Amino acid sequence: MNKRGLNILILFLLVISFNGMSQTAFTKLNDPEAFKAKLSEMSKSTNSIESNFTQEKNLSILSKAINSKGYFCYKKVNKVRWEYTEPYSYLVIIQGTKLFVQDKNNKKQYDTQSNKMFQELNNFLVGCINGDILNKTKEYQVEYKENNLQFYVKLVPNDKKMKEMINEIHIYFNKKDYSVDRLKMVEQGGDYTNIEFANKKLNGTISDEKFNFN
Amino acid sequence: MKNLILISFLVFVLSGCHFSLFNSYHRVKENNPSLNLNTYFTNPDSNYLYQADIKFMKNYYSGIVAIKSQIDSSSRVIFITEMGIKIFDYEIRNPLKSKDFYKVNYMMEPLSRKIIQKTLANDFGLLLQNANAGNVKYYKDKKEQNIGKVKHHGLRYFYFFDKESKNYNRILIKSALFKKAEVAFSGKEDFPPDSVKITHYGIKLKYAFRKLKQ
Repeated sequence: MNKRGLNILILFLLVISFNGMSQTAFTKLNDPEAFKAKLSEMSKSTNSIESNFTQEKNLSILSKAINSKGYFCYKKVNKVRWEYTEPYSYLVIIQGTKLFVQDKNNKKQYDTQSNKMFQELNNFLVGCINGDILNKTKEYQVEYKENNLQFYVKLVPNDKKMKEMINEIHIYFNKKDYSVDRLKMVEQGGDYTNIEFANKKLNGTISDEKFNFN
Repeated sequence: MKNLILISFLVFVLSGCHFSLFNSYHRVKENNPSLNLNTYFTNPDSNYLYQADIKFMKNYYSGIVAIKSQIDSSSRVIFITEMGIKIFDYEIRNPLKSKDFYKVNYMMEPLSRKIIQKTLANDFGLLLQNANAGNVKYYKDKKEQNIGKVKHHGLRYFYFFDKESKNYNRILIKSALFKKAEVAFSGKEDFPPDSVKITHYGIKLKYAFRKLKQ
């Protein structure tokens, strides 16, 4: 390749990278009620979500994060499959009030109604997915922001015990379809879990078998 | 007469315990400084990550254990669920040197009872203790395999070594009469060990740790 060709290639790559980085800074969302109404409308019309995810657990004592990845799907009403495939295999299925957990050596089924902690975790997870968590204004202080690509919601729990476990929740919603792009849970002391969703498919067909307890 | 029978029975049982351990072992007078009785988790530059299963009675917990040696020779032990939720966070010093060897930085509420905190600290303390700091006595068994013994607070810690290995593969913890617990290490030549198992004899409590490959 001659020098001119090389310059054109570099320019082309730069344009591509700048396009990739074109996310603007977050500013205060002026009309959170309109956003909530639209999110609720989108949530009503979303019957299923399927996505891959990557999870990054950052502990201040470790020099690098613990990374894992897997597959997630949601189907109305209240059916969730949350499956880690790397570097370990771990599966959580939620069907209404029933929770099924399976790892390499063990399978167990729980009734979330008989266990307050599981019930809260269940409500929290499903609430983050369908946006219901934003209506729990008594339980969280909520702050809304936006940029050109995403709505950003920061939730701070009011409950002292919840705060001990998770100090802040950050949810990033995609502006195109109001689906969750990213979920970040920050603990007291700054350790955090960051989950990013990719290859999302909304309203595709998901077999009920994916939510069966085997 | 009844007391005499009881005393004779006790003498018989106690002698049985004594000889069952030491019949096949003989004391070695000279020290063996090449044997390493220190914890495997000493390098402050390393992140030690294990997938962990804890079985207590009918309960089963799984997650990731992160161990990080600190510059001041203490260690941090953090247990999180696969989904990134923190269950506990300890700071542990050498239990053979200090009575108050642990500090709980965080413990999720259902586990925050003192007895659970202490049991967990004692068990993780076994993985993190440096027996070189104690008064070590050395033995050999019939196969000329090395054993190092340390006494501390009424308990005896036996470190078992494969022949010609400087690294122990098992720690047996005994009170005056009974086996209390055992820690088994495998793949120990690849620092840190590939897997670790802790088994209790008095209570139904078991731990299994498998090295997490990132």
